[in-house]
Amino acid sequence: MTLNSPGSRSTAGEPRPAPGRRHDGPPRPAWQRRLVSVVSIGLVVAGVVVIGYPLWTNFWQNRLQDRLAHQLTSRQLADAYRAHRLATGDSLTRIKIPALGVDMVVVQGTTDSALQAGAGHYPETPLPCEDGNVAIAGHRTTYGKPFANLDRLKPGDTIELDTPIGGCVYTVAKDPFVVTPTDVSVLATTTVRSLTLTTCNPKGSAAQRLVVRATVVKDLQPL
Amino acid sequence: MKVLRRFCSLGVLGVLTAGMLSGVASSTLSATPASANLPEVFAATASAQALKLSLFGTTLTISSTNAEGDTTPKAHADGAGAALITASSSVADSTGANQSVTTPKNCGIVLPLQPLAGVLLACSQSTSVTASAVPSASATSNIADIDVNLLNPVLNLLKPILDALTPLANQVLGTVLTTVNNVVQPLLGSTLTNLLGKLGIDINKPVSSLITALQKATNLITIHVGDTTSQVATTAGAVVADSVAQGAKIDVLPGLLVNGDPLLSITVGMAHTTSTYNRVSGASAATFDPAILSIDLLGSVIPIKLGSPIDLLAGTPLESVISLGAGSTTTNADKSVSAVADGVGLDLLKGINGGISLHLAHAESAAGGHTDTVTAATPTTTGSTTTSLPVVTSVEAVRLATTGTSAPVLPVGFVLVLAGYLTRRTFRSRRAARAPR
Repeated sequence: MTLNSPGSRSTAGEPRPAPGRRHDGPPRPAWQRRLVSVVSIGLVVAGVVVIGYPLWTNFWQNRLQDRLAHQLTSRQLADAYRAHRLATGDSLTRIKIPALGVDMVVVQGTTDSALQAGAGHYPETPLPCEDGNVAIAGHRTTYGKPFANLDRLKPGDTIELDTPIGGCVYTVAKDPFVVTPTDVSVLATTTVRSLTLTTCNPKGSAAQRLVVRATVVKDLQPL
Repeated sequence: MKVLRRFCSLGVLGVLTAGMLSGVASSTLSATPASANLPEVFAATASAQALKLSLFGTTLTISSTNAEGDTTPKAHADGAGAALITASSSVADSTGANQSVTTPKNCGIVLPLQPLAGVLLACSQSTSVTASAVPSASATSNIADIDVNLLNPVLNLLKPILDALTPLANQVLGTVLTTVNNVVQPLLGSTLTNLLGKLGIDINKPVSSLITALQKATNLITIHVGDTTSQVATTAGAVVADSVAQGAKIDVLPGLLVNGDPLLSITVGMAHTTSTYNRVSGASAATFDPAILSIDLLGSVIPIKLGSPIDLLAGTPLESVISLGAGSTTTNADKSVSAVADGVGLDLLKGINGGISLHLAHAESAAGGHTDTVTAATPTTTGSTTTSLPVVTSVEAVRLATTGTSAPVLPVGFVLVLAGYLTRRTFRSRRAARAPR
């Protein structure tokens, strides 16, 4: 006669298992229940955080842009720009790409923190509108995703840079092309005044870089 | 970053030199149209760290070395057994022609446990030389060197017994070994003979030759923790920057083998890089050799490594990079080269105030330059010549900016939410199943 077999004796008031359900043993200890609760809630919270991360970066970038737009018009920044004394994260230029609806401030530097502004200028390249190859990197899926549709640019599309001391207009010279992350030759100086835009490729991946090359067509104001 | 800063300073120095050379060349050309002779320029640097721990901007380095040299001439070497123990650091600088500086071996702690064991904790030693304006620099450091000398006392203790038994043992074991060798030779070739040869064991009297070999072994076990070496060496033909870092290394019976190597050597976390600038051709090359674990048994090395670093959540504040026996080389635009290697490298949450970084055995080196050149002058008053100086940059600086993420953010998020939901639901259904009626 087994303990739970029909007809087995049970003490008075002892609960019996529900019909059709197994009774594997005593209830789990309280610490196990708490652990499972914490783990499951933690997983859900982590998932929500991860899903909400792109939205949060957009919000953060939007706030940064307000501050950077204000800094871009300041006299101190114009002086620093003329003297080439710009710190990483400083406002540098406004970039306008009508074909993509882009109109935002680019900061100096391409560090992780600088690129929270959405787009940053490679500090080893000339300042915007100067001689040589000016290079700018921008996010594609987060932080305002300014270069989300960079692949849609076509030869002839215009890109305008407005700096604290002047501006210039470039036109896209050739179709966007893809390089490896270590192919820094796209940052090499050029004999003509040119602009290079880089972003990660494909969307949502950092495996490659998408590059757009443009050449200057006119200065908006003498530098 | 330290290397980067040094290279930046070298770059600035190079640019200034270039400017001066250009100026001199311009004046020469203005006066007399002739050729301009640009001197050789090179720079090399090596850096190694046994352990580097960084917690949100606060860094602790244990056992680190740096060496650098250039055509200024300058040679610099520094080392530190432990950053917090001043007595464990050493610095040697030679900044003119024909200078030589060698520091003593500075140790933070020396434990007098002779003759059974020797213990040195947190030591470093540096040397810099600029003989005939040719720079060389080297630095070594470690966090602990422990020599267990029990072997010879034990052998001495057993000497009467060994002396009595050796002739008989030689005869018996020699016969056995000879027979075994004759049997396995057709199958394994000369493997057994080679093995015994490495140990210096005579097949005819194996016991006595083994005892002799054991007496040659310097210690029973030697434990090295956090050994790092960085050196820049210049010869007539090349400039070599070499850096080695080890997390921990255990040598069993060091000196036992005929060539002086230990019987068994186990290294946990190893990184080795070499960058070479050829002074004749002007070309540069770099190599790296990392491993999480390296086992050297009787001279045969078995390294265990993963390969390329794994980059998770790139472009996000949570970006984390895991390097397990990984390394890379980079050739810069000016043909200078750099190499980096990590035994174990963890860079977690990089976007959050620097995040958490742990590097066990990290080594990097770089070298570059150009040879003597004679440039034809332009016979005009504005003619000028320029020289391309080594602008050696770190590996991190030669990648296009990361503006995306390697992780599929949305799918990962949904999986996490689903996992949380299912965990809770499964537990509740089980609990309901257990619940009494």
